[in-house]
Amino acid sequence: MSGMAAGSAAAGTPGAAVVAGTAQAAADQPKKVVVRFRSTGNAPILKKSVYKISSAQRFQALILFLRKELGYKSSEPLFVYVNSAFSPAPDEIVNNLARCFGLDGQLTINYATTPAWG
Amino acid sequence: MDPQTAMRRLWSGMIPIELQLAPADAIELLASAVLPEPFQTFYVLVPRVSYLPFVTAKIKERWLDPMLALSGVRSVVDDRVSIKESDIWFEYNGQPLRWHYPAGLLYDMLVSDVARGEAELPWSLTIHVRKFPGEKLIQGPSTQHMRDMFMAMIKEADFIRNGSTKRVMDLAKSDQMQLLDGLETHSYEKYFAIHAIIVPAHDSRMTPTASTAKPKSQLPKAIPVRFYMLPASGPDDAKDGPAQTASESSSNVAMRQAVDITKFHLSQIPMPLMRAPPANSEQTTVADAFRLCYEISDPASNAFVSNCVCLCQGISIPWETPISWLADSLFYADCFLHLVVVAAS
Repeated sequence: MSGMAAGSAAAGTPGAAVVAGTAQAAADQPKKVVVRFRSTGNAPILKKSVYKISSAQRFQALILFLRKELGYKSSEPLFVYVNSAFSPAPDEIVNNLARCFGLDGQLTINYATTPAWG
Repeated sequence: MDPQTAMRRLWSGMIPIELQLAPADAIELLASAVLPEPFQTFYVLVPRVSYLPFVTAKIKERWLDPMLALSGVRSVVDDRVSIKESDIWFEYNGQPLRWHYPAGLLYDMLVSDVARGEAELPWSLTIHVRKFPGEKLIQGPSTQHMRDMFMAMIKEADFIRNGSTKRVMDLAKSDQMQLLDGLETHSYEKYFAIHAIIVPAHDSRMTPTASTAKPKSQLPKAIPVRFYMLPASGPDDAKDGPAQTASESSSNVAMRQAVDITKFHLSQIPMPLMRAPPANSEQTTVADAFRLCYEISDPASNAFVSNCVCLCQGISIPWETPISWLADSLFYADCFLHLVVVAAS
């Protein structure tokens, strides 16, 4: 019974194919998200504060990008927030953050060298 | 069942977990893959709404530490034989478990038999105390780290619900502590006393006409919903599936059915309570929510309804269920509705 279940999933029932196709489309689309970085407290200001970042990236990639732009080593403290409110888990997808917390197609990221919110 | 009763029953939902220490770690700690009696297996009940880091301290204190002490490993302070909480991780079918996901969600995602009602109980996991897989899991699990991540999630939920994190931020420090302590110690009274402040009860079953009579602040702008969808696997997937990471500890488990957690597609948007015009007098259903999340624009496209199962809190949810009904009682402790979509058998 369980073997049959696995078989039908692997073969791709019409419904499963629809689902898979949709997810694939969502994942493959080379979509970009406009991200605006804002410094808080003593954190240095970036020369360029608005970037287009691939929406399929994880939040961790965005933090690493910010560190690179700031020239911060991984040992130096950097606190990164969305909408001056919370720090998402590093494995959250940028696209999901933009869809939930973006405003006018822009996701605002705040960064600080000391804990700023929450 | 009224939402109150449902909430209480969900809160008391527990997963019995059976733990084995990874043989490689046992050899490193005790110079033997076989643990001394009576330490070979450890059983623990984990609340579905809770998180693994909230039980690791207990597991270490009641199982691993006494085992080391009684095995003649004298120098517990010795780095070679000491166990750090932040190094502890759990594995199922060769896959590290994401410790920042609720235990019930992990179970719904990975124990594929849930959809068919042949649950694996107790849930057999391997515990590791060495070689933390930093590339697959967020580093440094601990009680405090989990508390911080939980607060971040509950703020995300507040933002989606109300457009700001004001309700959570306005909590007194002592209330925040009570919320976290309530979750960590699995105290319904402690947790829900504060939860009621963040998410005031509203009657989602009321008609839109009745809703205008109610103060608007009682109705959320949107519902925090996150889908975890497992796309149907192609024939190639078997080659690079989780089998390659299968360690000696899980070689006796049938790998062919193992679900690969990295294959799940996560999608979330602020979920409106009502359908878009012209059907805006109707409540958003789970099927609508799925279409919105995965940008399926054709409302007639509903093959997934008959071919996929939507699990919420281990329960198979009818696709026509209004989202707001689920939001009343089937939320996890972080106030999100975590919905797992897998192919029906």
